[in-house]
Amino acid sequence: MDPFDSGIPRPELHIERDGAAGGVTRLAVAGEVDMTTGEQFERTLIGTLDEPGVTRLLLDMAPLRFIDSNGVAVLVKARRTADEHGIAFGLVNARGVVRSVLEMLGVYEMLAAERGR
Amino acid sequence: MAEAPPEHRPMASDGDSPLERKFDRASLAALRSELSRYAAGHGLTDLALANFVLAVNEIATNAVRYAGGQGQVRVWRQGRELWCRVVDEGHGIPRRYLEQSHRPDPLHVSGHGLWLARHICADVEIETGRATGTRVLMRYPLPSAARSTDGSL
Repeated sequence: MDPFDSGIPRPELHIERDGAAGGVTRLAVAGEVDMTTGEQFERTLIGTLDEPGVTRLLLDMAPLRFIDSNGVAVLVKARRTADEHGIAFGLVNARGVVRSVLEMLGVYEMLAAERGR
Repeated sequence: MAEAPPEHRPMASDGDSPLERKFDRASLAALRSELSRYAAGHGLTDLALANFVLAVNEIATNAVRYAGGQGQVRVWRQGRELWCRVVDEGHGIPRRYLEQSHRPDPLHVSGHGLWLARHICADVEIETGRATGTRVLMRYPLPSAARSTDGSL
């Protein structure tokens, strides 16, 4: 719990790098993406795509509890940036409400890893 | 989590107590937690619960982002539905968003919130004006209703 917290939950986003073997970078996305954490999410994703030597970026969505429409827009932007850099980009383990919002917004197929690529 | 201070507890009313909260940027996550608890208390579970919270979060986020940074939420049970009203004192929602009946282009980075809330909820009514702010009333089916309890699809 945040020591400055007075019992009021605040959104937290933790992005952990699982490994970067052979140009494949894997980020585990945990917590919540909403308007208060969206910028951090975008900075991390775009920053990782700008690193030299990254040829493939996988986002493990299993630990993510919540993502809003703005967070989905960040994913779409990251996908486009990856395309521009010639980097393979995709989500794995998007389930429950996270997968549901991606599907409702019509971008699940476009963002999921290993879909005809 | 700590009990909310007395002045923030829902006020008693006839039948079920409504949930009433002011929100701003700093309290969006807290609002989601309270919405989730309240809706779970009325029988929503799993994806149906998560989608309700998502819909209200989108409307509340619009108020924070575009309508002065804050607003008020009231949620209550009405028959076999949860009703949720989000009120802000901003300058209204531009017409191009109100008239959006098709899913927005996913490559555009914003403007999906209202569409998503309409997609998720049984009904969304909006009163909005430059001088009056915006009132959004969302209706969401509870599981006891005969129709599908998953309001998403």
